[in-house]
Amino acid sequence: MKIINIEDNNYPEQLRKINKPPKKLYVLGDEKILSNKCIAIVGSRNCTEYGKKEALRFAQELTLQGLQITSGLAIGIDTFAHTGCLNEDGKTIAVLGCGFNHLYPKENRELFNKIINNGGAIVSEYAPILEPSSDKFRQRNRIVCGLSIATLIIEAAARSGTSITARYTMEQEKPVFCIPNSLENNKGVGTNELLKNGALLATSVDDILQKCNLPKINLDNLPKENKRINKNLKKVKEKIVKEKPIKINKEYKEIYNILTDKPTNPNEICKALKQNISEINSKLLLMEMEGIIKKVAGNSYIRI
Amino acid sequence: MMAKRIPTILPDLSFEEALEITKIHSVAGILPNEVPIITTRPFRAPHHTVSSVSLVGGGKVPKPGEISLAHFGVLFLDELPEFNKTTLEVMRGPLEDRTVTISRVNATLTYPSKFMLIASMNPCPCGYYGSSEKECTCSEQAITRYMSKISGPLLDRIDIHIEVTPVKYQKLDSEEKVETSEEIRKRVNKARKLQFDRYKKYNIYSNAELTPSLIEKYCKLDKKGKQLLKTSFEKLGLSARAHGRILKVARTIADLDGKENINVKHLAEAIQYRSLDRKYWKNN
Repeated sequence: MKIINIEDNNYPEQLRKINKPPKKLYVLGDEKILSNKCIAIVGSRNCTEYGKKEALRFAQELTLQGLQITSGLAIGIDTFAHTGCLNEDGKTIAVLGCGFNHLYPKENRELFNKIINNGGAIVSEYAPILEPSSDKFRQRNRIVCGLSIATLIIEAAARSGTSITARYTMEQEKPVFCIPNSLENNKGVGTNELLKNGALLATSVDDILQKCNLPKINLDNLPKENKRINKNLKKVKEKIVKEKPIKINKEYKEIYNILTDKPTNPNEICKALKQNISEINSKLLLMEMEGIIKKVAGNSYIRI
Repeated sequence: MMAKRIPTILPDLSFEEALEITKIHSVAGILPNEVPIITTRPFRAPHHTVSSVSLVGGGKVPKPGEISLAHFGVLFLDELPEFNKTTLEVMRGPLEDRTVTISRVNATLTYPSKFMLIASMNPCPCGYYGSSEKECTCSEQAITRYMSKISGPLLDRIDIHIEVTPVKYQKLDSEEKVETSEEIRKRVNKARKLQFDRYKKYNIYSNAELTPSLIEKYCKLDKKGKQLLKTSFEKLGLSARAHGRILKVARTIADLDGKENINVKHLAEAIQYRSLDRKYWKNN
């Protein structure tokens, strides 16, 4: 563990500029990456499938554009933001609201290690012995956005820690981006509110890059010798291939047509198709194994 | 409510089974005077404050406990996480061996315990996890704590896990024709007959009692079935202990369907019934 004081040379410059910068930073991992260009991705702990998918996608695509992702190592969107970045071998920064001895939440211990092993950093302004508290979590949000050049909000409930991060970002005169959310999604209330109050709408990474005056790297024209990037390029291309309309077996078609992005119960499918529940259950599993649908909590299914 | 309906679809008792049940109830001293022989499958539903001794049996001269009284019948545990954890764990052995041996100073007795365990629980403390009607207010930790009251080994010994969603009023009121218990029971009896004939020479009654070597013999999968089982284990993160259970359930589904061999359709349905093994329950 390293301790960086505010007067030290390796103290991240952009963090010094914020209101009430932390006097001391406790860092695990590589402290040099703190000065690189980062985008903060934050959102609800209790996120939806849509939020999860978009958090992963934005984190991956921003990483491929050479940016780092900062977030809070909480469960939900934070976890997926870090994971997305790690999926592309990126470096990611996690800011904790407690000392290193009290890792919170405990479920993310594995992610914690992965971030460090991948050349990322874990940062906290609190001494290792300090326990987590809601006040500390609120305070750490100012560091999350302080280290970043912009904040992207995936999902937020009406009154949440996420809107505190948004407020800090605006105070620091940095852009706040929100992704579009359905009016039916109650995790979209916060982002829609932010959009009303001057946050920017981001439908793709291009929106973020443009606003922050960052060059867009065209992934098709990369030099061949760069192996690592080529590997990533392959991944992206694979993804594009995957997103083509999926072929669906004839016998699954009628079930697939009923399913949407909203969780649907097998009983409802049963009723609509007037088929036996055991028949439906067996088909649903086969479809899931083919990767065209997904089971979510509450014995319900969604399309992928 | 659903579990209480289970006795109405249970298969008929054979004479040997009826005798065994009567013997146990007689030993326990709970056979009513006016009933010479028990002819229906027992349904035992102890309250969740039950002690481990009254569950497996015990006393100075050991008497049969709830699991033996439910022999050839149903043991129903409502609100499973509310039971004392150690009480639940004592069932692990009997569930596997289908007998229980109780040793005391005065006597060491072995009672049979071939019971069907049925348990019910909520998905989380507030009861709304994954519900479309109301939002769950539990924290992730609270859900993990609630789920962890049931140990993995016990969960592995339960063949079928099903998530049930709340029923809306219109459905309760609907006039739609559904299969009656009487019809279901006919199907169950037919499947049971198949199994009884098949396992005659091994002295067992049903698929549930299959040993690993018999599973290999009677639960053969074709190539497509093997492939499906492999992908589902990888994709769903099922535990190794689930393997035999899935095959037995698939065998039963095939029997209900009246088919000689297990095909992909039956296997897929059996895998579908292991929802608690799935990863999403833990990390959403």
